[in-house]
Amino acid sequence: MTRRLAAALLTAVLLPAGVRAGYRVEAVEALPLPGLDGKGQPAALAVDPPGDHLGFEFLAADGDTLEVYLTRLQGDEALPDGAAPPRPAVPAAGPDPFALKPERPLSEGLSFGPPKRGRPRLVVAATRKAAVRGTGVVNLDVFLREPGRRVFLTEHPENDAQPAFAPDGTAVALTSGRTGQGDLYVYRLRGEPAGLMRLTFEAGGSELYPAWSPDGDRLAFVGHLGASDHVYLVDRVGALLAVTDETSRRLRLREHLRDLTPGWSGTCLAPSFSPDGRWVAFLSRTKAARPADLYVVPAGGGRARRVCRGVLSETRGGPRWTPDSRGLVVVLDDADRLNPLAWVPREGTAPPRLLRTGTELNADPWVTVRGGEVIVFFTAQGGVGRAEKRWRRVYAARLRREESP
Amino acid sequence: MSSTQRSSFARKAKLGLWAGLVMLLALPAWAGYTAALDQALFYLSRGSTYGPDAVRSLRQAEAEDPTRAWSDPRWLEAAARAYVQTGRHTEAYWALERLEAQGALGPEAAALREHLLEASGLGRVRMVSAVPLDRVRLRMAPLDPAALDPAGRRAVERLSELFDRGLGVGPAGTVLLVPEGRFRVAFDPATPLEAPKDAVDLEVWAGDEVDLRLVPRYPRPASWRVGAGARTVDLAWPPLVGMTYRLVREVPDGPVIVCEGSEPSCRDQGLAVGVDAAYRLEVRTADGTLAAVGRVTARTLAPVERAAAEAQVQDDLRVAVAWVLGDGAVDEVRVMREGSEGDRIVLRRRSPEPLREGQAVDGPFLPEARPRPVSYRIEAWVAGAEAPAAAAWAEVEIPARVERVAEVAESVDRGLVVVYWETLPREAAAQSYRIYRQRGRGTLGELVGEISDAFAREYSYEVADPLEASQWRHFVIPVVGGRWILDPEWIRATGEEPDQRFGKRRRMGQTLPDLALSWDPCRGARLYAVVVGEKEVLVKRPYVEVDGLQTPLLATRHPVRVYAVGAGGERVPLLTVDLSYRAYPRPAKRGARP
Repeated sequence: MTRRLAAALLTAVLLPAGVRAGYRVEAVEALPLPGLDGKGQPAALAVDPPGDHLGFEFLAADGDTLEVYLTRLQGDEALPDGAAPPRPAVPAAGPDPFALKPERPLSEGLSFGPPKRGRPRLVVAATRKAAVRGTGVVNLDVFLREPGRRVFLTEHPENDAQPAFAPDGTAVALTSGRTGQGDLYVYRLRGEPAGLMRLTFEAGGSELYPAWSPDGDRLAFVGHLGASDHVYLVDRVGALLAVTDETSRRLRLREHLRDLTPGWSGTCLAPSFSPDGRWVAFLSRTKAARPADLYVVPAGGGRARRVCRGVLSETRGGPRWTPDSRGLVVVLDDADRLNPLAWVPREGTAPPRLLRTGTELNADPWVTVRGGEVIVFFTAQGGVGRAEKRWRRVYAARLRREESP
Repeated sequence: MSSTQRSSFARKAKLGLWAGLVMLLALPAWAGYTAALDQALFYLSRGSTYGPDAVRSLRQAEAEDPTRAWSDPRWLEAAARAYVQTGRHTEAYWALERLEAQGALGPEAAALREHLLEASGLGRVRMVSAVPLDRVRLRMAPLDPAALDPAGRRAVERLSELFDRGLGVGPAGTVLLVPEGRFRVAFDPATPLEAPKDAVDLEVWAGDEVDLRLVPRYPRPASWRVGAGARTVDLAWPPLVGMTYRLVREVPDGPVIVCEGSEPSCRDQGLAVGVDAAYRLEVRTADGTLAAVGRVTARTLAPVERAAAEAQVQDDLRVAVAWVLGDGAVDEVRVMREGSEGDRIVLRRRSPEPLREGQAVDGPFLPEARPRPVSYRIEAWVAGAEAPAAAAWAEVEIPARVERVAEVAESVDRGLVVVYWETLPREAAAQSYRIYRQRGRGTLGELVGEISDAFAREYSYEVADPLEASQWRHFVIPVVGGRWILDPEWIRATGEEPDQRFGKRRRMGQTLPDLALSWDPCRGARLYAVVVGEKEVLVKRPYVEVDGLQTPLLATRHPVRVYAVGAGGERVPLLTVDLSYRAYPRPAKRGARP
């Protein structure tokens, strides 16, 4: 008794908060996808802000089509007990003179916006019929789907991709190759001026992976210039976009742009803001052949800290923060343990805490709050001991926060 | 070729000529429509750049033959495409809806409709009016113009063009495709709408439909049927299928429900006279939703101001008083006979219905020795008033009584005996006239009939033997106040009143009197002296019968005088009757009489 009390005191006094806090898995459920299970591989999961709809990329078994599907989660409990038959986010080709999709569709990079009247709004990068020129040519444009509206926001022979819906739903940030280098653009869905506006103008480099802050006023992205990448932040994006003249906006950009990783020599991938907007997490590889490491840098500026080594790269939307902004859910690149899910404290002062889901070869985690509970959706190769492991399936796990590990 | 064949050929040629003429006249419109539609299809085949040109051609075709355009699938499909290309989504949707109603919605058109409804970023505003409205003009302004993208702004501009032309709105609704956003909708004040009167804000969501329910004014002012009474107002209006009505009278203290139900008519009662009443008709659907509102003002009748009356003496010596009232309210009509001793109410009539005209009968009045006037006053009253609203007067003269029958004539024609007579005075009246006939000795004075027309001057009856009838002589005795007035030659008083009718007495072998005379008893009279010509007889009772009278007195004239004889022998004249037989046709042969 005395020994346990002493250990608790030692933990409370000596160990930082990130060590004391954590999550454990309370329940795990497989989420059947009617009509799709066994016909391909789901990946890149995303859940809309209310936690009602699940979107995912689905690579068909024939390997020819990759499409974003959308389904409505079922069940009154926080942990969904099923999903409606998924439907492609981009409508099928038909006799419609405005047919949107070629025979071999490709859509990816799903990003949910705030729902409209209980129905999801989303953007994806998708091929459009008119832009496909010959076999093997892939041209992506950004497609918006919302209640009563299905429209391509962009139309350009070069790719427009990596769309990111602003949290307030008024704009979509995207990466466009129309300038030849890869620049960030913002499509303003409302406000004056509306439409597509260029946000970055770096002639010698590329800007990728736009990520909005929760308040929608800042935009993080990865700037690739020369041999190294940097994570940048554009403050007061709305004010910058209010500058209608592109040349003036280019000049004003310097006042809004901050380098969060000055002197960084490695790569940077897929930044993501913490829910409280104070931190930015991103992935980085020191060498191309090595797995990525997870870094967290204060959004207000400061030193980037490595919080976890060897995680699978989540390029769609970046690392997944837990709602309390105290840590992130990652998939450890650990072949011995078949890529388990783990929770990593924001400070990196403690080792990752495994989330025991009972699944193997996990990937694509997405953390959301549903019914007041923290739910992580992910894909896995199947439960331990399951005979059929050929096809990946979608799982949902309910996490319980624990103050003491 | 026979003439019949030539005729048939000519007829056919003529018919063909007429048919050709009709086609020739219709050809320009037909050709104009087709050419314009073909032009539009050509523009459409050239791509969306030519959308405005296609729209122009389509409208030209529509102007040539609007009925044909909106029933022609080619035109409808082309219109849908052209309108979509030019941002006129609402008109495109209408064309597609018409195609669907015709069952002609092909796969491409169906996909286009699906696109408009689900993928165009447009929401639907369905304007519904229970009563069809034409040329509804409105303005739809975005509350947050900056929130609209260029396509949305363009769509709003197109809608404004559409609104300028005016819309038809009916029970089925008119759908507008509107960009997502919040809009302020204001209707032209000339639109007969009860609601919304002020601008209304709409929130339109893409893919969703929002109802904008118009509450028109119904019925039109000319369609009200208003019947105003003194204290009632009857209202009726054209019915609407499946609707219920509530009629409310608006008063300062608040609305008063007058009627509720499905009947398109109502009566409001208990109103004051000569006041305005404002009504509001609420037309509601089966679920109680207000569908239309009508307003009307009615004025109850003001008190009547004009009246006219006329009085006339009838055959039965009664006086008929007829009145006519002018327009206005009246609750009671009083007819009063004016007299020196005060007025006497002859009639007092109340009725919930307006008393426009009527008649009262007074009397009978026994004619007296001299004509006498009778006056009537007709008053029209409104309940609660202190004085009649209108009054009229009528006066009539009761004629003098018949002093005597002056002349009697008779004719026999084919079994019909007609007796004519004159009186003195000529316009005098009696209560009735008794007609006697003389058939020979012992049957004199046989009563053949009585006519109760005060002004009768003719009597007829049928006989079986016209030859015999031609030898009869008739005399007429006026009756006033139960007295007979006659003119005998000589009088033999019986001393008693007859208690048997002539026919019975004759059968009993008794002598029948030619005439009988009676008069009013005179107070203080001991005897009565009856003087006929030069003869006189005294009787105790005011009655005398006379027989054997006629034959010797043919063609003579005899005054009859009756006097009351007092105890001292003094005489007071009571009755004067002159009988004349001069008008009697004489028989051709006296000896032929039986």
